[in-house]
Amino acid sequence: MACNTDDRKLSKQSTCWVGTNLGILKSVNIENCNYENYFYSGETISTVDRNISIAKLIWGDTTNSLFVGLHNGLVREFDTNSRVFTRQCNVTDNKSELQGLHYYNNTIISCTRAGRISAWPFDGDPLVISTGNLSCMSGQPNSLTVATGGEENDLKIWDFSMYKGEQTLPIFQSKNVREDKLCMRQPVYITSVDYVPNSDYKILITGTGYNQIRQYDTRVQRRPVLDTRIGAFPITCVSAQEDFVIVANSVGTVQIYDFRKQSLRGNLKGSTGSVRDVSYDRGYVGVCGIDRFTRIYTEDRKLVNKVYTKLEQTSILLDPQGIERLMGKDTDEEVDELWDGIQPPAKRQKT
Amino acid sequence: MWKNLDPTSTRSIPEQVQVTENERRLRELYSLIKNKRKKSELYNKHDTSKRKLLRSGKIKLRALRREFGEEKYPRQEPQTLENTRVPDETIVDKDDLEVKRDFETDELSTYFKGDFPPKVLITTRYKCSKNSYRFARELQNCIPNSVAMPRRVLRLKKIIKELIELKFTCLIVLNEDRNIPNGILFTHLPSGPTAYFKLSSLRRGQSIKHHGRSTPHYPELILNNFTTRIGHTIGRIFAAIFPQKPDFTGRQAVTFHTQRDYIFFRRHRYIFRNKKKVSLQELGPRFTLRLQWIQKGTFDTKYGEYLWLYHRKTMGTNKRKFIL
Repeated sequence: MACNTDDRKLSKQSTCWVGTNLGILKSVNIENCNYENYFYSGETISTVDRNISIAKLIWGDTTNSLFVGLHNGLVREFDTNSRVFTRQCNVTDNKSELQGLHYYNNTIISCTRAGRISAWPFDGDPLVISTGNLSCMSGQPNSLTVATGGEENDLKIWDFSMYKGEQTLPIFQSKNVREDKLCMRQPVYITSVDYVPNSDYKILITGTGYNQIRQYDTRVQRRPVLDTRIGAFPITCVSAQEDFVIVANSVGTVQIYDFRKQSLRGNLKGSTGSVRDVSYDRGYVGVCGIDRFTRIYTEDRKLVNKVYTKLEQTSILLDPQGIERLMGKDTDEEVDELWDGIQPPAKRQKT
Repeated sequence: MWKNLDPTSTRSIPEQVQVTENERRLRELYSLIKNKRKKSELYNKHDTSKRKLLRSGKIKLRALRREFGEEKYPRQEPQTLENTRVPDETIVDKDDLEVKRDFETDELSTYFKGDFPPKVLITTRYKCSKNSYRFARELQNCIPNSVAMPRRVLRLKKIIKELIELKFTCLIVLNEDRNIPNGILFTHLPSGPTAYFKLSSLRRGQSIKHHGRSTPHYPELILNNFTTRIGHTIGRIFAAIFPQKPDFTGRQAVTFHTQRDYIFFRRHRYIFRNKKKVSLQELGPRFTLRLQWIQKGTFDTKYGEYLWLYHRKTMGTNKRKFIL
């Protein structure tokens, strides 16, 4: 795809939203190979800092509102139509870095590295649960349920609709895998977790710092139903789909693992540095990392395009409208028009 | 063979290269030589150079240049791998605000803002040979405020923890293979970044002809051709090892010159001969570096995040594609 950086008109259409380590939200247009920066009101390029590094991007009620979680615990709402930040609030105790974010029904659920999971209704006091060290959190869509994991803190699922004070127990608590042949306990270090869609959110995938991919089925057992090793470097993020999972690690290897066949489909080539986030939407994969490039691939592992965004990226979210535009380009429009133009033959009259 | 240079047919030959009468006679004389090899040798001696020049139109151009001047027919620059390099997206304008802000807030920014001198520890791998230790001593001579220490059986991560408490700003570790130094690691403290280089063509100062003796003045630093984003990171890693304010009275300069992804280290003293002439005296050591990987944070090869990693397969084999 040719890059046309002069075409500024089309840059308002974004293919994906990217969060950077300086707190700048970027709208990347993959077709025109350019991007646009968005600052919170009062901030400029000369005042932004690494303290307001973006930790997580999530959708609000619709794809018109985007919640931007910062490492220092602030959450800012961004309106994707008018393209301005509308409001911000604090969702942590400011003692530790924000690690994960989830939104449902006017409630923001956040978790910090020190292990404080809290649900913040827009009107009311926060509900807090404390647990061990956390490094990742994934929310179940349309629910107040989140799955968490961290270093020496195995997978746990918490439901805030059944909240009973700070000592609330998780609704699911996984068990560590069995000891190895030498009867040694296996260390636990979950770096990323994701729900598998179309499984009633009963199946989860985790990636670990010891380069393992684990599949948990909460209906079956507390130990993982699938446990494999991929590559030789820590896994930084996973994105689970119906029958495969996209796995990325700290040296920039992005792979698609088919957990039905239990084999690798192949690599998404190109990334040279640690991948921080992977996003999937209807056959397209967005990859961002500290090599400062945003890359979009198709599901059959072909690079659509890449954009240099000048800053280290921490989080990516594909825009559904942008993906629809990309999908529209793929289908042969001329042929479709030709078919549409053809008049159906007149009904033959009975004689 | 004689088709073009046959005196009777001078279609494509410009006037200046027409075969002279003298040459034609010579050729007739050569044809009498019985020794085939000698004969062809003499023929070639007279003709090939001219034919070659004809083919490239060099003579024609030279004549035109003589007539109309060099401005109208300029001398062309030779094509090299550097000036035909594959365009890199990460080479941006110098005054780009975003990249500038990125530098202003990165891990090394505290060093570039403040004017405290760096404090460096140079050490080697376990059980190094005397070659490595001698090289470490030479580096110590070259880097102000540095200490060269023999490595005891201590883990790097443990050393780094202690160095941060002692307020060191950089750790340099030398690696060796078969008693020859072959790698060098730079870790900036307390929060990185870390870079590992392959080291080759090492020459100690003593073995350089007409080498000079160094003085403890702070040297000037020259960083050449670090253009891409990764190049800038590497340039900053080198710059943060040396004090920011050089002693100009010492007239010493340390150079990191990059060409085709190789980094050449040289150290000189400049001497003013007269008002126009300056000469250089090399002080040593002299070595070449090749980037292997860069990491965010301090040394942690297993669980750290890599900014870039040498991987021939994914980098491709294009010789005109450079990363620095």
